[in-house]
Amino acid sequence: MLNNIKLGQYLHGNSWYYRLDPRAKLIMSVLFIVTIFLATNWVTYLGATIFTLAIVLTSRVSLKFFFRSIKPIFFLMLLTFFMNLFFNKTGKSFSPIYIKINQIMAGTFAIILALLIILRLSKVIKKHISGKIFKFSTLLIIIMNLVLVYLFSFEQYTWSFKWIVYKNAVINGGFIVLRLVLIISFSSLLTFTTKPTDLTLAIEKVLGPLKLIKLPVSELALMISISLRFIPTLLEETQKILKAQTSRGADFTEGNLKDKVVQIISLLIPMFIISFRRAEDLANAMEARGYIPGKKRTSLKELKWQYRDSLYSFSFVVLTLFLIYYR
Amino acid sequence: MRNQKISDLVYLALFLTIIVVMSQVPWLGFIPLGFTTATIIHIPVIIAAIYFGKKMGVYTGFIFGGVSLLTAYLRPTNVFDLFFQNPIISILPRIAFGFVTVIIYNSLKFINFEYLRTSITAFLSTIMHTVLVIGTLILIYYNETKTFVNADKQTEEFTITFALIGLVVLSALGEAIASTLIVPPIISAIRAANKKEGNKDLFKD
Repeated sequence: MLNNIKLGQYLHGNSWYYRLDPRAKLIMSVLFIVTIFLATNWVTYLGATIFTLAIVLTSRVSLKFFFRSIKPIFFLMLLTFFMNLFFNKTGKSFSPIYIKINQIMAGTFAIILALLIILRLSKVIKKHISGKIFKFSTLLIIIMNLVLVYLFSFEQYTWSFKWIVYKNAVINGGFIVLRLVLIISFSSLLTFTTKPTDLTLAIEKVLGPLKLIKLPVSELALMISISLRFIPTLLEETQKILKAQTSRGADFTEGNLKDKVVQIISLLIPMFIISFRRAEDLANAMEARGYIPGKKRTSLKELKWQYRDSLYSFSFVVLTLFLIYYR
Repeated sequence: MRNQKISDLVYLALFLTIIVVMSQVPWLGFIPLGFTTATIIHIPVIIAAIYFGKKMGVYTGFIFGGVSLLTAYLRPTNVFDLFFQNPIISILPRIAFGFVTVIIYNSLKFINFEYLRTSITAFLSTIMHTVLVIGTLILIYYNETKTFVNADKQTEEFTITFALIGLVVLSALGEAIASTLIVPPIISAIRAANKKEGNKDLFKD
């Protein structure tokens, strides 16, 4: 069950984007999220899209990884787009669309749904089978409805809704979806091409000026590195606990809310106790080796700001100026 | 005498690890409730607040907010993640949540039965978590949510508002019940392990 979880998204590779200073990558990725909101019309969005595409394509990271990170939010994007179509009522309107639903079809669908819920609750059929039946029957009913109403123009027993779509709604919805895709691909590119340890070092350096107002930046960075070190260990331990509890008769695959809560308790108690024990050991070890919070620490790896990092940052300034000029 | 700062730092790092693992392992951090899911990633914050006190509660709340901010940017999955991209919504209410949990726990001193005290704290603080987050969301995005909040009856907006409120209340209740059941056993297990192994060398192998 834990095999499909990947935490470090780093992919091995070698290109100009990999060789950039992590500080430059981090700052520019955060800036990109801010600057993309400057884009308001199609010229600026085109510019931002071309900029992102150029970087993504030359970074030599396989495109399928980007698709993989965009796929989970596909439904979300669809939802945002349709919400926009419903609620944005400005600009020119397209000719109204009539949505017709046949009452017989709706009734059949309701019966199928009720049957599925009853069968599911009485545990006659398994979860994945009911899901498949639901998807298949929904698709079938929609197609039959479309064929019946629009192809044969069967007007009896039909509900009819008038739906007016406005031009601005389509454009704005498209822009929101595009912005999401651009932001996600840019931030994924950062995690694909930068090792977590480099990223932590970059966070420490970038937030460095905040030390002046007494914020514990290096402690925060140390905390993140300790955590990054222990995430795989804890995942492995979770797997062990899972197997141990399964061998004692716990069932982690199905169950209602009560079973689920019992499963989670039986996993979380060992997780917390193991973590607390480890924290004690680690705190003792750190103190024995002379770690003093707040003192200046040196790092094994020093980051070097190079010519190409300045060039990369400059390209961002150009993008921002472009967005401000043409907005 | 142990250095309290080091121990706080290390415990925070381990809480961060637990929060990240819970948010990555789907069946550990989320309970499906039919139409919505109850998110129980806030449970480490409650545990830190009850077990360690105010300071750690606030810090763990901050960490929880930071993790949800990063998740909202790196892999958003639902509509709320779009709002959590704003640090004011993802981090501030969570810091307040850690603080509020400690206040609730301390004000329930009159309950002598520890198990009951922690479960009531877990229930109330989870409700407070939802109230704080949704409240901040409505305050910040007042113009966007105005149509939902002030929707007249018999319009399409009203139906959607009704459905949204139903979903939020359903998942909030699920979260509250789940954390009421989950938090007390963990706290008492940690305390029992602590007592058995002696306070001096805590959790030694």
